[in-house]
Amino acid sequence: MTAILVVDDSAVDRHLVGGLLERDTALRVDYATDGADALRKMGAAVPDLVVTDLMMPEMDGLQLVSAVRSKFPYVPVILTTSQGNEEIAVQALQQGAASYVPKHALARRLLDTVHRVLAVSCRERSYLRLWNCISVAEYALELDNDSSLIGPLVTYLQEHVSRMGLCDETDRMRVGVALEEALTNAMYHGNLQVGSELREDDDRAYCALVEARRNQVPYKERRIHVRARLSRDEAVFVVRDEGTGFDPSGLPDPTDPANLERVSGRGILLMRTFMDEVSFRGMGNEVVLTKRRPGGLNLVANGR
Amino acid sequence: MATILVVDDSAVDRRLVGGLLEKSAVCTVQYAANGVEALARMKEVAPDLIVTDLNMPTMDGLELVKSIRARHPDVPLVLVTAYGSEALALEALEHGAASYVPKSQLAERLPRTVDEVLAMARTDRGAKQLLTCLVRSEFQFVLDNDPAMIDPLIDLVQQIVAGMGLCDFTGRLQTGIALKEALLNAVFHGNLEISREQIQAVGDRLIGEGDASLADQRRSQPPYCGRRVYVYVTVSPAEARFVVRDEGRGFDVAAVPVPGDPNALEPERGRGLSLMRNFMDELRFNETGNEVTMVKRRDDNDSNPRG
Repeated sequence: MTAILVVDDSAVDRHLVGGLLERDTALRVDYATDGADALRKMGAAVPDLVVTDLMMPEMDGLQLVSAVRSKFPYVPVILTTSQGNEEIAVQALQQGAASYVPKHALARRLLDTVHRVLAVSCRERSYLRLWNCISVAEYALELDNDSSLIGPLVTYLQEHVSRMGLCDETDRMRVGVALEEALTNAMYHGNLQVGSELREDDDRAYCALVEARRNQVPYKERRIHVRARLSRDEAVFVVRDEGTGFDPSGLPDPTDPANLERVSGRGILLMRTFMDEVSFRGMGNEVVLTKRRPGGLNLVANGR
Repeated sequence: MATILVVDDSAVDRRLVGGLLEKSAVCTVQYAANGVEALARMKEVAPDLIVTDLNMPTMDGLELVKSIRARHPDVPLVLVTAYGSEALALEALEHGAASYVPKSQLAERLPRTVDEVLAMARTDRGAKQLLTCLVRSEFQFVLDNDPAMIDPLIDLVQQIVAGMGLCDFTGRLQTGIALKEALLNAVFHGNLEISREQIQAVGDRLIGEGDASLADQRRSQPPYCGRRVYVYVTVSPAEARFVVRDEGRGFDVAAVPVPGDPNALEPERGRGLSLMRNFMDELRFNETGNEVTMVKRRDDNDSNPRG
């Protein structure tokens, strides 16, 4: 059975909408009289879909849409709109309502719209469940020195780490920061060989040098090689650049308070703090970052 | 630098909108007086975003939204709505416009809205570009016998295959069909030990919900319910490799029909196999018949089309 919550302050309209929906015997209809009432009912039992009026006392349809979106992001909301409140309907759609049906066309379009929206949300939920079926994911990428790729890559990896159940929200942010540091490090220090000392002295000269080297041999031919392997127990990221490398032991000690304000070494400090393990390989141009599942080894037995 | 195409039949409004944009953002602004003109200019202008009025003669904003979505799905549209055109705006948003700004609040809201939409579009493009940087991708799935997982899995695989430019649209479609056959086979024939005829008889309802079909019963019944399907997917720019293994009893591999002779097995199963064989470049079973390996190689323009 698919559960639909109908929200309307008018009893007549509630029954009109409910009656139309109940023509489909696969739908089970429940009712709420305004937004606040709807959220209470949703707290008790999460429906598959909400059909709501826009104009209501207490909490109107627009407020309900934003509340549902933040608290129940997988429950789609369909609006019923009457003439004169299109402006609010437009706002509600922008805030995340899935669709709308004008009140005068309810009989003709409501069931159809409900089915269409249910089909889409069912597909979306299947995607989320598919992520739970992934036991191992591994990929390798090659990036040129285009900083606009770092953002999307970090976002993708972060999302993947959290979907594999390897981190909570706070950890997710930290994983992102560590990866971003590793990637920017590989691009600017590794491939383009622009030192952070210059940045401390003269930010404009630093940017100009970066721009110039992006188009200069040998820098411009260098790539960043990224490998990620995620399982239910850990995520391992390997970031390698094609620069001349560096001696990690020669970095200023980032735990020395005197060095805290310095740009150099800061990235590595962040990586070390936010990941469970960080090691440099080769000539120092390959860094391996490991993030383990919180609670780690004792959970391995449960992982499939 | 972003290029923005402003579409409005009123010269005054075009200037107003264009002026606001040029003042606030680093962008080039181009103009069109209606939807038809806008469509005609799409190629030469190649805008990153379109700002359009809704009420125009010749081709209005709603029509323009529909055409752009069909022909240039990557280009987002922002609507400028006049008082009284909310119903039309509603329809345009449903048809895929990215956002809207009321004409009365252009100065306050247009620049910010345009920035937001451009940023979203960039993220979107970044994600697509990222796919083209992939040099290898490997996934392992453990599926219970829920057929609802099959389509999303195939979707994911097709996205990766597309990103790596392994094969054209038809090739991707064929890869998807072959993989689907292999997965259906593993779930129904392998783990649940249901013949494909029985599946056909139940039809789509099986993939749906709630009815107590044979497949549903077995999904919660030992020994069937404890069985899993293991899927290994490896994609590189050279080939896509799929291994699908079930925990059923397998079948007599010697009875696998040679191409053109699907009679050795039940017809539906024979059909699935012949699709897999035709659409993949390599197909082989392990000895017990509960594991199939399929390989799709990179399209080579010089090679002969395969039958």
